[in-house]
Amino acid sequence: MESLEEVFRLIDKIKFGEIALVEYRRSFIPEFMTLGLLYYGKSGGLPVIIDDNFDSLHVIQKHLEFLGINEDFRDVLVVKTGGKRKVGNVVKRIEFVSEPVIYIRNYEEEGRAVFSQVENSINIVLGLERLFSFVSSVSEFYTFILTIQSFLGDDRRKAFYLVNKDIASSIPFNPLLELERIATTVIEATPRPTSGIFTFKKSPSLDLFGKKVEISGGELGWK
Amino acid sequence: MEITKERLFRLIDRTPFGDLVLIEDDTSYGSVIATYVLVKYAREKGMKIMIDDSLDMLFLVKMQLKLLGINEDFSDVFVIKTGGKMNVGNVVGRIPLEPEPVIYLNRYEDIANKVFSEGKYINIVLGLERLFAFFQNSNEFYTVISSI
Repeated sequence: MESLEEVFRLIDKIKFGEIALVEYRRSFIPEFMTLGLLYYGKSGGLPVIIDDNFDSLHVIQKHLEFLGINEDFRDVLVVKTGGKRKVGNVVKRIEFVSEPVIYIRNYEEEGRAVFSQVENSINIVLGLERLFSFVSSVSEFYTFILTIQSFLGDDRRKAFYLVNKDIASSIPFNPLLELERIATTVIEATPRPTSGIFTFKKSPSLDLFGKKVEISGGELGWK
Repeated sequence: MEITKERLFRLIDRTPFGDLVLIEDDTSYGSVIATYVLVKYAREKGMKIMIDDSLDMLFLVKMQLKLLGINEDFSDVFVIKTGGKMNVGNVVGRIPLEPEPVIYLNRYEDIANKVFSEGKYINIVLGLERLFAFFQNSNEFYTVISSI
């Protein structure tokens, strides 16, 4: 069992410019992971930007309440797509239109404007699988994929994409395989009754590749 | 088994010109490293290199190499780009994603013939699986398979 401090030293080894894909199944892993990354950002004085697709952050906040943790995310810059429940400091709202090409153009213009103002940020992307549910053709699928990969190497940010593996696998255009390829770090997260196990399935860092860490929910305030 | 650069290059030496080598990637960074090794090999042997870059795969390779600590800009590599919009290397031709494979193949051959009217070169094909995702039926599928 690793302490939060030890885990933070591992997150240090994920480079700016990387895309880290975190795959999880039914559990409170996204809740604890979001919270953990928020604490990580705070401890290092790094701004945290959350891409909140379709009210995913609202669900996370409510779940945390049931776990006895009150977090209002007021220090988090939020870029919101779709949905209507505002959580955190929403700095940009991107209108979701079901025509992906137009939506992507909006995101690239307005989303990038937010990123370009912030140096060394921790970026958490929530609800990407919900976005991919709207994809209805191969060409739309690759429009999304190519846009995501165009952020790779942007060393103003260290990005974590939290994706529910079961949901992503069940949508007609399953993005998991391409996401695993694009991502430079792939972390598989497995729940235990009071903890989570995180395995580095892919990483450019030899210190991280193959590593398995276990974090107790108590470390993050779960009582 | 540890393999040295020399042994690896000798392996490539033994691959005859005209051969088509399929490298299946089951690892994290296999195709990224393979691309890098082949480019290094060609440079050392003084050969030209052409990369078929479908849907921005070369950009992905470049960025992943960067995050592995290797800065490679592919500036001396001829690139034929299909779809995508991130230019990497010396882009000598660009083919829009064409719903009709026959038209696509004609365009491809035109460009390839112009660039390589003579001489031997190493050809690296990236992102073929992305291209194949676009084919709608067996007719299109086999048109492209036969051309390869």
